Amino acid sequence: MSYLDLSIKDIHEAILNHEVTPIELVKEALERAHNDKHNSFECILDDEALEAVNNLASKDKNNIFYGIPIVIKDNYSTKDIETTASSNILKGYIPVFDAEVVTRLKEAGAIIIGKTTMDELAMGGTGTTGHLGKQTNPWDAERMVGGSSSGCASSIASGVTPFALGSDTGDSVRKPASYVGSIGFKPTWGRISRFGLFPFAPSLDTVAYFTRNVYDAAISLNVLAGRDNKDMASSSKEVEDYTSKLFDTIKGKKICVISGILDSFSNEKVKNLFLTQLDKLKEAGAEIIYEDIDKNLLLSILPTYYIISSCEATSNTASLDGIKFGNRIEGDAYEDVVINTRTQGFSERIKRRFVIGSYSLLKENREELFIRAKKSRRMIVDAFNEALKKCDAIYLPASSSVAPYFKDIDNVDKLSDEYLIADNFMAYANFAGLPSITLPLGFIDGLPIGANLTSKIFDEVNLLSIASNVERIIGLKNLLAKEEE
Amino acid sequence: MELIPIIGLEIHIQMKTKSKMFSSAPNTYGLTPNTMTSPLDFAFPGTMPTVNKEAVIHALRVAHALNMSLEHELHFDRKNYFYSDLPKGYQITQEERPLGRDGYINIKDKQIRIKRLHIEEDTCKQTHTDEHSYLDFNRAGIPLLEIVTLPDIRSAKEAVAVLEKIRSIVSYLDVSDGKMEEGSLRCDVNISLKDVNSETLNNKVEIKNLNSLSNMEKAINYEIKRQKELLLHGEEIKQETRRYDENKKETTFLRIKVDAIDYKYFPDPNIIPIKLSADFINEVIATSSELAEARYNRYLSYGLKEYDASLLVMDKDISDYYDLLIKEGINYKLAANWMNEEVRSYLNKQSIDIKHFPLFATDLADLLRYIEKEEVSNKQAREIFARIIKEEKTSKEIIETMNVSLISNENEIRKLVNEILDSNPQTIIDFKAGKDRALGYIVGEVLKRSKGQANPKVTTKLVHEEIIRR
Repeated sequence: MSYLDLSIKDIHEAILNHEVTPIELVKEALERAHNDKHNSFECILDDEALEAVNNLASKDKNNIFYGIPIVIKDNYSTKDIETTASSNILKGYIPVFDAEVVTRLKEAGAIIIGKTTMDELAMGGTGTTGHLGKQTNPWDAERMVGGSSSGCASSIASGVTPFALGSDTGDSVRKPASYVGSIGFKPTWGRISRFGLFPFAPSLDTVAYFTRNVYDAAISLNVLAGRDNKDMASSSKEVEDYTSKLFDTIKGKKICVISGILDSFSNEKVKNLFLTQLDKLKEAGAEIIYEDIDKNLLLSILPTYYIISSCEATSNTASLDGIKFGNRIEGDAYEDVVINTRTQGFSERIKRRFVIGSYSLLKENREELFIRAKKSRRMIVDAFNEALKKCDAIYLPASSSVAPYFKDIDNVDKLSDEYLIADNFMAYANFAGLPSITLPLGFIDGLPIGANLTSKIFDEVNLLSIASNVERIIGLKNLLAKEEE
Repeated sequence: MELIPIIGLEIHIQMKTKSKMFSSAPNTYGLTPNTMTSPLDFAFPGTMPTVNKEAVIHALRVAHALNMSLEHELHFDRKNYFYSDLPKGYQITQEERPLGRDGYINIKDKQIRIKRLHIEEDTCKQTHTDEHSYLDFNRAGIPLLEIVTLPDIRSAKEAVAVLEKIRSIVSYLDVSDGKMEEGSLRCDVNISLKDVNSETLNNKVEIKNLNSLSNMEKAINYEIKRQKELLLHGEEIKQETRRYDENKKETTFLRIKVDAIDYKYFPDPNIIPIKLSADFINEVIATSSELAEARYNRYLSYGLKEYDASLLVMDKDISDYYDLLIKEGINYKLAANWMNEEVRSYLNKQSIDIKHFPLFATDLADLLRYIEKEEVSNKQAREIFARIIKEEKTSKEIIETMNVSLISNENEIRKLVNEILDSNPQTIIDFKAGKDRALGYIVGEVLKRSKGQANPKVTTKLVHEEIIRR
């Protein structure tokens, strides 16, 4: 057994008991990163990590992150370290400042050992669109790991580090977590500062992360949450101790299943597994209720997401024009520089989103697309908030299947209920800014699959308490893919 | 066909604030390019805007002064377009919900309606050479106010009066320097002509790059003439943007104005709408400084002449300086005369503004007190004034070296008075015949003879006494 395979909490205790030292942990994590077979890394930070370990003397030993090796998705600004968000257009861009979360993690004593690959600019859900190519699933390399926080997911599943900082705009942490059997947690929008997170769609973007168990997810939030004046949307609401109710009972808690969503799952194995586990929650004393939401609203989640996120994305990425930074492609006039840089810098899939976004914002289409999407978003939010009033959390499978094979990526009926609802409903939590966590549900054919719990805004203490119970009842945590040598 | 000009103004004002509109970089002018910036100004990914409260306060005060109805929630939109001087690829502005709407100002007896006022941010400053274009990000993000009038203006003179009034408002509220030459006040003019008997307007022409009020007046007059001539020759006015060429004294073609670009506006998702409470707004308005009009009325209540009062309020800094003299207890009229005559002529000669005037108000007050106490004459005071500036000494020091204390000794002056009366018998006859002017003549002669050193008040009294006695 290696200490690096343990949870943050257990590694922390081992460090305090002098059973293992940060330098041993960091060296092993770096070695694992170098041996990574899943294309998880944009860069591995040997020198920076070792230097950071040497500087640990100034940090508080009792901080849970003290000496803990971590990885960070490459869409967080890291001072002096090239940050490209896996896009060619940002090749050579070396930020001059750290994202607020990066600062907080560093101050807490966490050691960043690498930056992870992702879908280009976080726009994608397959882990196949980054400039370094696809990320593979450590449970089965023929399968995808999901995205957009793909390198985070593959590295956490193969055990490189016990914490991976990702970002979640639609389900970019919670979906891959389902495919690799880890925790994927997105707190309330505004709970953690997004300063320094490369914007995709700021009204949806949330700092989110992977851990190996619920306790680690909760205690990490203690470190990361809190107001930051640099992000106007970050909340001044008091930071709580998110571990305080992890060991409270689930008895009497109301767990809600949205029947219209569950009905859209066509895979019987997934449905049966979910229902079996649901029975266990009931046996443990949870009250299971079923609510329904207008199917038209459920069907509109994905198109609504596409319009809103593409509109915001096309504007957010307009700064990438080759004039100030990034991979400039020369031209005779500034217009040519902009056109050449953007034509060559972005992949076709990204440009497609820009076209959708621009088209939706044009005067003649604005009302029919952008404004309508905003209204639709409001209706979806109202419907889910209404359901949440009647329960403590909404519980559903986090993906329609285990991690799909790469060869099946384009084999999807994009007009099916399964694609439109089962595969993409989790964006509702981004629409409403709700805290939402994916945790293991079980195994199908030897592969992990997760379920998702979502609660009211700023109800993290309660959500994590329920998640912790579910984790105990199901009995799956600290899952690592056992790789064949 | 009688053609009348229909004119509207679009005014951009750089606001004075400590930091920029959405970043923490300092708001400065004229410093080394690209030294006053923050990562946000370069649009580095992950930077986020925070709203500058000082700028919001400025904007609220101006909107109130323009009699506008105020938005009680702050909203910002993105205006999306690509341009080399626009770092983010969009400008943060207030399209949907401008801070102020539907206001007006009065110029003389006419009311000009103000359509809207909103907050936005400035772009980079561009400098072009033959081979390169240079960008200065110091200007990127400086808070701007945009004020748009309705086309209620009918002449170049009116346009100038409107801009002067707005400049006065922003300068009195300490919102902006309002300097057209430095670009802290910019004005685009829209002009079209209309036949008095017709409802339809001819095409509109926009004039840009106006760097002074006088150029603005000339440009508008030129443009009216140009458009009239075209129309009278049966030609059509092209909808276009023109610039004023200072050397040729005419407007020249800049670019065709195509149908408005679609800026794909949408609310900035990084800026949460901010409620402006009624208490906050009331407080901001209650604490805003006195406008020129109020000061003018105050000066009239001091007994100043309309002309003097209006001269004082024309420049806020002059008026501020005058108020400091009043605070020092100097007589209203004396202080006004000195500001409008001696000080103004000194500034003109040196071509400097009052901010660079070498005397503190307390220094000038010291000098004026000697006049009030009649220890020096006006004439002597002017000489002392020149010397305290030149020699950098106090009035007291100069007076000591000049040895010019006024002759107030009655015997000495009476002797002079009698000498003058003796040699001017005709004046005495005139006086007895009721010509008051005769008295002034004798006083003047006495002062002249004393080389300006006789106390004028004492002299007048003594001349009166002696002349009656004869």
